[in-house]
Amino acid sequence: MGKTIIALILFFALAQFSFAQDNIVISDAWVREVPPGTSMSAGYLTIENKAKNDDKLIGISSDVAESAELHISKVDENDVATMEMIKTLDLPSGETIELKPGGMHIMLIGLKESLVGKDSVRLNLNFEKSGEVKVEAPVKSSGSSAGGHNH
Amino acid sequence: MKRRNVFKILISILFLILIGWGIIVYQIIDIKSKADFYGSVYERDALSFTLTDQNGSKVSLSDFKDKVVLLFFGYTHCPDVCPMTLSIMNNVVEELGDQADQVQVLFITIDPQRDTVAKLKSYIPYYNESFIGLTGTPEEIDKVADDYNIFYSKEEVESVSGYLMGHNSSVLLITPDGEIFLRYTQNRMDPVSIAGDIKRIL
Repeated sequence: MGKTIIALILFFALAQFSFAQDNIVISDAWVREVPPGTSMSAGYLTIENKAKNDDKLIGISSDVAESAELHISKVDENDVATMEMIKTLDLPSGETIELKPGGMHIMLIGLKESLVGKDSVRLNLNFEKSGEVKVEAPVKSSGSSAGGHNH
Repeated sequence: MKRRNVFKILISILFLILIGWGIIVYQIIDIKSKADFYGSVYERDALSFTLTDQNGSKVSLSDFKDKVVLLFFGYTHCPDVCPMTLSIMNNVVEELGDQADQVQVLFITIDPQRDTVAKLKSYIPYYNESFIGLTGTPEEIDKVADDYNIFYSKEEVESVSGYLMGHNSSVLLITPDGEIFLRYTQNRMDPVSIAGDIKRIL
């Protein structure tokens, strides 16, 4: 009984400690389900830099893809959509950056397996100062999230 | 005295004719009351084309004469904008309920080099069984895109993905009488509002 309580206290203390350590907070991560046989998909998430220091996202990888890159979709005044690669993403202290459909996204290139029926995908984000942060991103088929927020 | 009466009657008749004209003009404007549509009014002739669908069959625009056609140009290696737009088109079709069979979504690839018939077969029906994906020779695609004012270009980027395509990503709404009536740009992709436009046209 006593041991359990101590274990619980320890657990919460450690848990708190580890939360306090989180300089980089990732939320709302998801990966787009794409038809089987499709080589590309995209991942979206929100990155918050809670650290006192500026940081930088310098690399991304995922088990399900040959490689992963940060890209931004741009739509010009003629509705021509293009994509640009972002090699490193600056994360000033206190800043929150949102990756979302039609904007910045993690491009998953060369999918090794179908995402259909998969619950989630592991994304490894590599930060210059905070090191590697792993995220479990649920696989979602919805496409309306962008359209729904537009009006 | 008599003359003055005739004058009065003539003025009255003229007045009535003017009111009549007013009503007719008002109705014509109201039918396609431009400000009321969610999509932007485009009003150009939808030129005919014949391309190959995901089953290898030839498909022409004239095959959908009784339907509203939603036409979108994209490519299957597109990770963000194209899957998003196709999902939204599926939401539009779902929103239409029992009127869904009066709408045909057509996806024309602007990357025929990679988007073969087989590739489209595994890609398009995923979004909706009723969607039709179209490919052709680079020349055929060039012509259709040009006819529909769709700009596209191959972009060699540093990315390991090979190449990406820059492309006009608007959805064009073609009426049953063969007019590109409305255009939905990427900032106008609310499925409920698009379905609303279609219900008005049907």
